[in-house]
Amino acid sequence: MAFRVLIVDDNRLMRDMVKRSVELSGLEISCVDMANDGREALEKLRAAWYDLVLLDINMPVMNGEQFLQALRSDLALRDTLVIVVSTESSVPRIARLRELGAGFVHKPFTPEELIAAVRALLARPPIASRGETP
Amino acid sequence: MSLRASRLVADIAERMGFLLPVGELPDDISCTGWLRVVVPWSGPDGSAGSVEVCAEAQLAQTLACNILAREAGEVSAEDAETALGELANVIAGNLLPQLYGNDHEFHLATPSSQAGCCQGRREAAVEFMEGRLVVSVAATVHNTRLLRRGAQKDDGGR
Repeated sequence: MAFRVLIVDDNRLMRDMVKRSVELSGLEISCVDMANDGREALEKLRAAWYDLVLLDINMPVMNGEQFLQALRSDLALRDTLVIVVSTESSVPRIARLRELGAGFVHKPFTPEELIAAVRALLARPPIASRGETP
Repeated sequence: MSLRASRLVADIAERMGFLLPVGELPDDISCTGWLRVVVPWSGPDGSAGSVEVCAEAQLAQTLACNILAREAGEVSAEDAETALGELANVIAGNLLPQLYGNDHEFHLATPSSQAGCCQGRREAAVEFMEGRLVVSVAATVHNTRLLRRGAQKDDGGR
């Protein structure tokens, strides 16, 4: 499976860095696209199909947690794979993100850690079949 | 200043920007003329403050080159400031839980470049092969739990 990846981060250098990590991870990629914040990411997801979203948390306009809540409330998008790529260390907040079905990679990270998170996420059943409420 | 915090900063800079740490610097080192990036944060019960990172220009430029995989002449001064801002963001996200505990939620605002030296309490000062970097944390702490945690940390460090 070749992945269409959407990287969501308000920092252009970090978007480039995440993109390079994706390319170095060994993951088969057919497309990498970028969004500056959660709102722009939702617009892109409604306009085109993406298999995987790599998501920052601290962003202006719509932050990562707000984006995840909106994504899981959207029947057409709720099964989208999301990995949070963040400095977030708060145990309660990470638990909330995991409850929303997201994988987690802590910044700074290596390409190996990223691919491990993707594999762990792929091994899980889709959101809808887990009976989770958005 | 804490050796633990300096080690954390050295590790982040090495993993994220491929900078090579040499050792800890004295905590009274002057950062006049260095680049300065401020990351405002807010925490529980009205606590707020900023994490400030000051670095020599050469370090910031090398950081930008390493992150963007470009040669020295291919990065701008703006790239260097942006790279230092993202490093500051990652340092802030990792340092605040180390200082105050990971049972609190901290929200970080967008880093901004500002003139002057780092304000607040010096938490880390590290020399890298590529230049020097210091980190300080200013806090307007109204939260008794955070205050208690900070006091315990101070006692433990003596």
